[in-house]
Amino acid sequence: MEKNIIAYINAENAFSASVLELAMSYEQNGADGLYIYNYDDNETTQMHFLQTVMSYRAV
Amino acid sequence: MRPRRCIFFRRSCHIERFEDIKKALYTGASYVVIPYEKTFPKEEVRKGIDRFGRDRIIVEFNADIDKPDHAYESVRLLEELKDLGVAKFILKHVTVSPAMNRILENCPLPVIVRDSLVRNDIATILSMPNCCGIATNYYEGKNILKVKRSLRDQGIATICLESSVSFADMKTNEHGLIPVVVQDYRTLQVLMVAYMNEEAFNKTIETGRMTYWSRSRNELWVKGETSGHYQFVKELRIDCDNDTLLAKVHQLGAACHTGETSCFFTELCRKEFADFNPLTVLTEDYNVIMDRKVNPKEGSYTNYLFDKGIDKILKKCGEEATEITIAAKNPDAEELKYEIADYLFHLMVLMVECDVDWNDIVKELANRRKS
Repeated sequence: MEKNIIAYINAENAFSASVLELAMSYEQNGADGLYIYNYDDNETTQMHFLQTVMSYRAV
Repeated sequence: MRPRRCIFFRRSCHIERFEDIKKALYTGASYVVIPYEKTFPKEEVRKGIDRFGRDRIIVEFNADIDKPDHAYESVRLLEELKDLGVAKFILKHVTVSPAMNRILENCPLPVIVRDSLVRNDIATILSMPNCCGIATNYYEGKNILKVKRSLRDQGIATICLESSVSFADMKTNEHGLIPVVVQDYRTLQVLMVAYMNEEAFNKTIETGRMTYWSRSRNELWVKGETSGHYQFVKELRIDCDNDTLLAKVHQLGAACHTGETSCFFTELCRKEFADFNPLTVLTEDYNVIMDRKVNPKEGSYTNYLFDKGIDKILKKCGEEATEITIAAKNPDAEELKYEIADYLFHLMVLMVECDVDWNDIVKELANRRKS
């Protein structure tokens, strides 16, 4: 079975730019996947979080 | 050599509705991770799987026996989730022990262990039965490729870059160099040509960063080390004569030292030709439509549509789609081509109006193919 090294990023209370920067850095350093999470249930925060993940996809 | 990129994404600890799963997967995430709770929204997950297919949802459990999301020992529950179409499980707060090994052994799906790695040894965790990976923040700022290579040397099947042809079997010039044509992995634009010797080739495979031999400085050259414009390997190929490499890379910044994206920016001569590359044509047409929106032109049909607004654009899209269905019944394919072109034009007007571009669509299609 192939073994993956997945980086996880806690996006709670983090600026979008720093989450993106960290995600890119993990990817460039060879992570097999990224696990980005945000426990915050606030609707606005969640929308912002979704935008961040979407921006990462666009990079 | 196998380039990979996937995104695990956790929406929140309270996914209650199918809408939440939909929004999460619409971001382009490969998976959505849902923590297990007593009120686990099984029906909503089922709807999500019906809509997006199996293997897009991961369920996370807590290995801590005192926590409410500790339920992974119930084999019946795990089997139920597997039958539902769940892809994998994540288990956090794992203590490595023979008992845990037995639990993982009986798990019906592969398990990712989430661990800070402060206490546990990564090799021990990855050697646990049914463990398909580790999710950790331990490697922030570290070279994960190097870690994976070292784990592979310990017999753990990590995913590393590996060449199917050794450098010794490549045909080099009298200086021991092989030319490398470098392309952007997304657009396939040729960015530059450089040379590698054996050391540069091996370093490229080892680090995942394009490394060349500088013929002017007579030294190893990690592209981007000074400028920050690194090139990350996505794929390496060799030609039929084994004497030229083709590299598809993720280029940061400009490839050319002049600041241009590509070193091939000087046109020497040109004969007019029609570009038949589908994505180039569609992208150029899209850009013209976008330009009309930003710089309106009198008498332009495109501007007429933008002025009338979304309802008019949608009406036209609907009409053109209907015309396609009528044309498709006609044995003459020419009419169908014409109607599809008309439809695509109106679709692009809609895309511009809604701020969606071809890259978004292509990425979505690529993402579906991957999953």
